[in-house]
Amino acid sequence: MNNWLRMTCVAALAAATLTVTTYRSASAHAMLVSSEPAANAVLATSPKQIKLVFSEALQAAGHTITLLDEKGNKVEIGKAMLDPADSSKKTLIAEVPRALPMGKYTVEWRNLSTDGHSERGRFSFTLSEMVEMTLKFAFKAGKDVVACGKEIKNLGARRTTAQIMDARFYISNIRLLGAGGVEVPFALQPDGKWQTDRVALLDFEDASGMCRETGTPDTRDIVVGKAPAGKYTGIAFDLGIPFELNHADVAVEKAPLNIQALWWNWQTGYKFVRIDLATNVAPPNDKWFIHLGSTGCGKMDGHGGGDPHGMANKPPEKPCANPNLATIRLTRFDPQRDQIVADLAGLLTNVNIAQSTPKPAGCMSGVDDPDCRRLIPNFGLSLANGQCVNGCRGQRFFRVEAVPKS
Amino acid sequence: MRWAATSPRHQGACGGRQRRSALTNRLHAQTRFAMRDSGMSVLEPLARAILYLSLALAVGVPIATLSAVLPALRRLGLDAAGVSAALVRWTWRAAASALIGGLALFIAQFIPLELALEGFAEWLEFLRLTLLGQMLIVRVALGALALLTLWLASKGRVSLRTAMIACPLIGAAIHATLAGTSHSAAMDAGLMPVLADFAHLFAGALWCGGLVGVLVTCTHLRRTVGEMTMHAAAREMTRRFSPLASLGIMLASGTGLVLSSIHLPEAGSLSTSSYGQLILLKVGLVVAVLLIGARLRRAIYHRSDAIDRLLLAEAVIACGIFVGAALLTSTAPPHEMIVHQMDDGTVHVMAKVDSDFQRLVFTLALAVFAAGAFTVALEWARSLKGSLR
Repeated sequence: MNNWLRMTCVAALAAATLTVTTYRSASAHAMLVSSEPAANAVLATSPKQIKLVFSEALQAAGHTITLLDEKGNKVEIGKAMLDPADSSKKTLIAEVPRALPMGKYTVEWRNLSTDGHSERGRFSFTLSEMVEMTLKFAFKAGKDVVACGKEIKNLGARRTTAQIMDARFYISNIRLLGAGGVEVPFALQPDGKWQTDRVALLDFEDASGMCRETGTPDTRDIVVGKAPAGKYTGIAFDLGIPFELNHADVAVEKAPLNIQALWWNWQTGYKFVRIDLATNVAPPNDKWFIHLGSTGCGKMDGHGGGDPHGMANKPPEKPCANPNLATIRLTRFDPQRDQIVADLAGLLTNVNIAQSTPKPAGCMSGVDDPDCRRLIPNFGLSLANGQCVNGCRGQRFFRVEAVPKS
Repeated sequence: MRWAATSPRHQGACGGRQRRSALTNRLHAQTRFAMRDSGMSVLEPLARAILYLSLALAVGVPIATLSAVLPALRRLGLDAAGVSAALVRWTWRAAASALIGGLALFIAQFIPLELALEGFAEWLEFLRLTLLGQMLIVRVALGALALLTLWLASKGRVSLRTAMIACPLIGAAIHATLAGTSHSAAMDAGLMPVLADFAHLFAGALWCGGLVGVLVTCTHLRRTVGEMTMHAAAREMTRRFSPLASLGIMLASGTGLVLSSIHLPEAGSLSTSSYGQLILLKVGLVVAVLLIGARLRRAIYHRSDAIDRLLLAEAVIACGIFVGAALLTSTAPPHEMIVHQMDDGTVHVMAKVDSDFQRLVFTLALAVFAAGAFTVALEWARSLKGSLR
């Protein structure tokens, strides 16, 4: 055999040997991409079925889903089968015929994909009693508590001194974060005044001092609700009101969605956040308002542009261009021990409140409002489209701190 | 027992023994699982390698026999009966070994499912409902049909020509079952990837099996008619088989590139994933084969005596490519998934792809098809010229 032929064969053999020796067996074919219950989920009610979604199409049979209790005993559930609702054949379901008692459960699964390969895996979820919880909030500027009639120093880019005239905001879609960041819904308890089952109002003004004009005597710094008992390490919530509740008539809505001072108009909806400041700067720069809410909701959005089309009394026909609904996610939060601080100093980082463009003073959430340019990013939002930037991780308004031992 | 119950020391020891026993049981179970899983991960590529190589012979040997071996022997005035019998024997062995490979593949894929199927009814239900079972039944039936046809041919009840046409057709049907249960079929991307998979396997089988068919004939002729005549026959057979071999390589390479563009999300996964590394290995082996193929062409037209050795080298590397293919089909493609949760709660899963990379590889595949078509046309023209002369 010629030299070149020998060399070619040797090279081919060497390459084959190298690949076969470094070859790792099949890693994953039909991978689990999501499940109900989710891995590490904490549930208050027993699931009616176990649902697993995979990355590849599965065969009509040959799958197993096993449910084990805390002691490792098998819990009787239905046979694993393809979900008839999923035409792509990527979903497996198994019925849970009886309500499960409280405890920790493990789901073990094994699938058979169309290519004949099988994968297996396991995950756990916990069933736990619903317990009442109170989430505590505080309104501060750095370390100092903010209250009506109290001067706050060193606010914003020019270290301006100011007092609040109003300080209220709505939150919704509250979730506690369990192990591995799994979100557990926090069920709000409606009280007819501060909370509905979907939205809660936090109110830090007591109508004293400079808060007299728009304020109310009662304040609210807690949110009350229920969640499955368990260990939580974080919290997530939306700062504002969901679209479907945002464009209602304030005159007929129930509390806390009936406050005129926190409402623009039917079309634009509510002010998610209202913080009015009176600064020690000479007029006309002696006021600075922070009114966060959805904009671009139709032909008329109430920002000084008038109502040429008579649209103010109609809800928008399609979602607002700039929802400005910030999703706040705070880690290292223990509901028993910690409070959520709305930090005015953080919110006004790099914002010059010693000067504002007239009519209106401060930021009214408009995309063309120069006062919003530095403020809106501190909510974690994009001024251009009102969406979260990088999951609103850049927000500077909220932080977690331990509840003072008083 | 009573003593044990009253003695705290012994109770402790007993508890310890129980704990140890639980731990030992768990360790045993884990070891058993690990051994079984690693065994299965070896068994599946092995079963696939047996199946692919056997199918290649069952497809390629009859095609080479009809298109190159028998016409060449006739042209040289050599006796074809002995060679035909040898080639039928090889095809019979290939069909039997494909049957074994198919059964082994079923076992390799069934055992990890850990299904405790009890009774005939449950087995029947499993075989009826799953592709795994359906494909087993189809493959066994087709394999048995091939064996029967070849047995009848050996007894003279069916003509050799009929048997040699039936075997590649049955092989193609089994290739279709393999393509229908491939990664391409599992990824829910339409019919095109499945067809590409089928063409890839069949074209490779045609080329590799044909080479072995020519080699088997050379070995037989060396024993029966001597070295000199064998070299002349080898040249003639290779010249006649060359256009088909070129067609096979062109189709296998082009469809292989198309499949790579489907299964690899980006260029980087060629080096970072086992799947990509195996593709690189196959590409390297194909390059080696093309070099040998070029040398082989020169040998045919310059009347060199090295043809059988070159054929052997090419066949060995071709078998290596099939082993690579068996490993590849047992390995998960490095798909990156994008998961969309819809408003109604349903989840949509899509494979992430780099469209620039996909376009580049697809263009390369088209270039391979074009170059291959040109080479095949050239080969046929030369072959025709040779036979006219």
